[in-house]
Amino acid sequence: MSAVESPRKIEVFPVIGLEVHAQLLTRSKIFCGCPVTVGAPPNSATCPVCLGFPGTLPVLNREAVTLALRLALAAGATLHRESQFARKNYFYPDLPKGYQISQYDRPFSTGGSIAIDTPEGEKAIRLVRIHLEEDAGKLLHDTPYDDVPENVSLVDWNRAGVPLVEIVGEPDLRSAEEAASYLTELRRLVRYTGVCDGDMEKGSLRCDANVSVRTSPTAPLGTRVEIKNVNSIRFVAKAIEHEIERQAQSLARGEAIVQETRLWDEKGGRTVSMRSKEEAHDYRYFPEPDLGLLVLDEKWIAEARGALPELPRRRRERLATAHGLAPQDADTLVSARELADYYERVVAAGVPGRLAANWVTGEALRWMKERRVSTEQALSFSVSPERLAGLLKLVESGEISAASGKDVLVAMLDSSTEAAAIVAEKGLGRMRDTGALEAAVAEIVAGNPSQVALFKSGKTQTFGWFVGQVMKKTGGRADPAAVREALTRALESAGP
Amino acid sequence: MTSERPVVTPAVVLEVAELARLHVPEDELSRWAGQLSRIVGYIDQLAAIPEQAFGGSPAAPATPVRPDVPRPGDGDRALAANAPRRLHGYGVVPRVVGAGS
Ligand SMILES: [Zn+2]
Repeated sequence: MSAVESPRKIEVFPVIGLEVHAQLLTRSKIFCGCPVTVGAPPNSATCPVCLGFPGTLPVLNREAVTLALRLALAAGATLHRESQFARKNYFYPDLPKGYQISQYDRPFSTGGSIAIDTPEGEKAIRLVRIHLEEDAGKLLHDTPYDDVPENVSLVDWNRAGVPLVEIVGEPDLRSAEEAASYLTELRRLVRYTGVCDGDMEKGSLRCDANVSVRTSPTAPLGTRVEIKNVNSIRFVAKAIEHEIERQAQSLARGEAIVQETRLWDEKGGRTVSMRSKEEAHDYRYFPEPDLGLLVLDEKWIAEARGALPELPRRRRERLATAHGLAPQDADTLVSARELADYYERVVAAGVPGRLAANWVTGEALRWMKERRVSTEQALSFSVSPERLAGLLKLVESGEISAASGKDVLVAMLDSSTEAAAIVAEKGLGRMRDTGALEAAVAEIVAGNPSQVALFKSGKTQTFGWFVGQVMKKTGGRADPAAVREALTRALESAGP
Repeated sequence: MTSERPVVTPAVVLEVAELARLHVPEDELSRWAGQLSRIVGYIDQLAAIPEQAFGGSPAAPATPVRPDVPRPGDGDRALAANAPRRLHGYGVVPRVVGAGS
């Protein structure tokens, strides 16, 4: 439970609940066969159904339901065998029918939770419900065209009818950081389950936050303010932080909090009022007469359950336990399903778990970032997990040093050559030529008479210095044990 | 299923009209209130009939589903034939700023 100090010294305890919309990864829209597109010409992916022409009827996309079920199962929610679609009525140009088909009092899923990590340990954020609905179109206010008058807005209905799930969380979050963790976990979950691409910038994952504050952690909930229009996890945290502070200052001045909707203004770094409760909509929900009940049977639910992968938190736990990984490393590895797959393929190729984790979360991830390969694209990184494994086996056996390994990895980035071949070609492998080692040792011993004298006088710690010199001379390629042996012999036989 | 007979007052008519973006002249409010009261009253009368009178409710029909197969919808043409104004393929509406839902 965190308290925020406002400049006027009123201690407030925030209560936050998030409503998240996730665009489902179907190929066609939820109630018509129009393709779900990205960047298609305006209104090219529309039809009389999603344009709301009279006389058209919606037909439910089975895959949209299957994906929604998968997410609900992943969140441990209760599925309802019968649920109902409802009309949410409001007028806006991005909504051709004058209503949005959504679910209201009979959603297909209630309950469930999303676990987050807090300094006090794991915390379950309960879900009120998950329901299916259709998206609205997009309005364009500032257009790139010269011939568009100032007093109009342009509308693209390509997005109208794209399937969404709305995930409504209980107000269980107590700080902006918890809200950010919740969103991070939820995004990870929708990506793992293949339900949504989780891209907040493109709007396929959108978040509204309900924020209220109270003056004691047990006081009744305060008046809540809804924040809309936030398109990254970082901004959600900033917007909530700012809103908590704004409400705290209002209370400190003795003002009441007004129930309203506010928009996050990233440029101004503040929220601005959009509409107050008096102007709030009355959506006049009623059952959608053009659709029957959504009836789920065992087979359908089993199908959705069958497509569930190992979920991120469980996978994190398994990897950490199986390979003795640091929690932070395990967390990084499961941040994307594909990165965890990459790691597990390195291990499957015979590399010890910890060595593999060090390299995947270290050098490999660094180069992926450098090359703009996202963690979701880890499996198409130019150095495949099997090639990285080839390199790491050379490091593990001591054939090459870790430092040489990093150089070899760089050489592998733009070639398909195996690590062993690069090592051989560049002569980075362990020195097998004992003659060359003996020569290097002899040269060092002969070239440093004063150090030899020190050693002879009993300063045995100088031995380490000699080892270092020989390693340097051989470019780190000599076997340290062989170096010690050769040095011991050389120093014994050295004069005087 | 019985409910108190709702009375549609002129205030209710005004509120509904506003939500529907309809203009109802002041002097017509009471006429609308009277007519809507009669309609709502009729619905209430129907609701008061015991369910058995209909021979029990049939099993609720499951909504049909279709496979997730995209196909062109020809919306462009439907828009061209029906939209009052278009620019660069977009629909054109009076400028609105804010958010819908
Ligand atoms: Zn369509």
